[in-house]
Amino acid sequence: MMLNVENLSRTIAERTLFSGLSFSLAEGESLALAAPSGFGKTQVLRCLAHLVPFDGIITLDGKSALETGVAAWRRNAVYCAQTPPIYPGSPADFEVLVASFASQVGRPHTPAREIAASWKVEHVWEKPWATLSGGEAQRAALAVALSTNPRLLLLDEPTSALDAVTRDLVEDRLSGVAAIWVTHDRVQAQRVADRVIDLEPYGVVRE
Amino acid sequence: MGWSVNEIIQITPWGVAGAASLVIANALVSFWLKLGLEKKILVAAARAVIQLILLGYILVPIFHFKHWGFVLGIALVMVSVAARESIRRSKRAYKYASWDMFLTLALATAVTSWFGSAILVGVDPWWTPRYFIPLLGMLLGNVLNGITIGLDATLKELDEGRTRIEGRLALGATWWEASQPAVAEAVRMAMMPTLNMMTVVGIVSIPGMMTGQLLGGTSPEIAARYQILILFMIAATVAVGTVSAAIITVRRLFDDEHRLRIERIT
Repeated sequence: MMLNVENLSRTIAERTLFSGLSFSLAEGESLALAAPSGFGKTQVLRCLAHLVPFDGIITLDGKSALETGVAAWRRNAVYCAQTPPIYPGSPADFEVLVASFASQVGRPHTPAREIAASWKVEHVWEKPWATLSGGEAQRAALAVALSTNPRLLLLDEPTSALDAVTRDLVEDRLSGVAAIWVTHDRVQAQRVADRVIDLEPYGVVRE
Repeated sequence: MGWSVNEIIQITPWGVAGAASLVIANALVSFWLKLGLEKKILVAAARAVIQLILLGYILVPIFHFKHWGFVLGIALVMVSVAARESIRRSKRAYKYASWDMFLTLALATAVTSWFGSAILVGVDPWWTPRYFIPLLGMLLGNVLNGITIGLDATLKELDEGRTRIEGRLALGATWWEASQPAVAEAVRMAMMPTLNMMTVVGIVSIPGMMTGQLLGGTSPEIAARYQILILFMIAATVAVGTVSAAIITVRRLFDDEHRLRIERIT
């Protein structure tokens, strides 16, 4: 198994969002997480990206984040927020910055601009983030994430700001990419993922 | 023509009282314009009068009591009060902020005041209270502002720029790579007043210290030399202080696993 999650739980300010969550992901597989709203699906992804404290065991290729180093872990399991932040400068500047992170240096890199071109956002590549529309920013941020060739993409509603045509372009490009999708759209989950699992607050899991 | 202490015109208590009429004019303006500041103005003025008169009296025995332990004790009290004040003025803080700011202030001022006193002015011994304590007070007053802005701006950048920082972390940035732009912005803001001051000094403004020395009868060349020395020492102390304050603050807001723990802001 590439990704293994055992007994994951997350508590924010003494409120337990979920506990005893276990699932796994095989090499090259993509998975969609379905759960009622308010479950904390985003928090599941943030735990997987090691961005927040959690209880339980998460391993990628048999190793935990503390064994691989946290920065190296996040390079392998890249989290894409639903609404990307407004970075300083343009997407091109951001791509250069990301390539300069110690964890990325010397790694294979696909020019994000090529991905952006296939998603019809090449024209915004040199424009300030602040001037991008929601859908443009979503695609630009996703293009930079994909350009780093992670082992696993953690996608939080990655097409929520897109129309049907651009959504299809993004889905096409991501088919075959190991990913965990969080989506409220049941039809999309079935379409993009090899498996859909239903999360329940205390332990999982129905497939 | 020579300059000597004999030429100083003594300020009489009546002169000081006359100066107080200026503050009373302030209070009256506030009253007429309904600014609601008259009480604050009078209290602040009264505090300044009492504190400075006490300082005048206290400095006499302090300057005569030449023991390094005594000077150290006074310095620690001054730094502690400055640290507490920097936290009180900042809109945001965190759990160990007062302790961290105390250490930052102590380190930044200790290095430069030693360098200024021992090497630049050549005081022997370097902690001689007559030189060391005014120097330390001058540096603390300035670096206090820098550290307050540095602390507040760093926490503001982390708080409001949280999604940006986490976006960088998610792509494999370390805590330092992710937060470096926030630190740079905070230091820039904190250094701005000092840089502005150095730019206009002598043309637009004659600093308080130089004015004091000139009125006190020191020759203008000596006063200018002291002022340059003090300005550079202030700039160095503010730079060291704000950079350390910003970096320590950021480090405190991250845990050992490179996670931004925004809930630590109080």
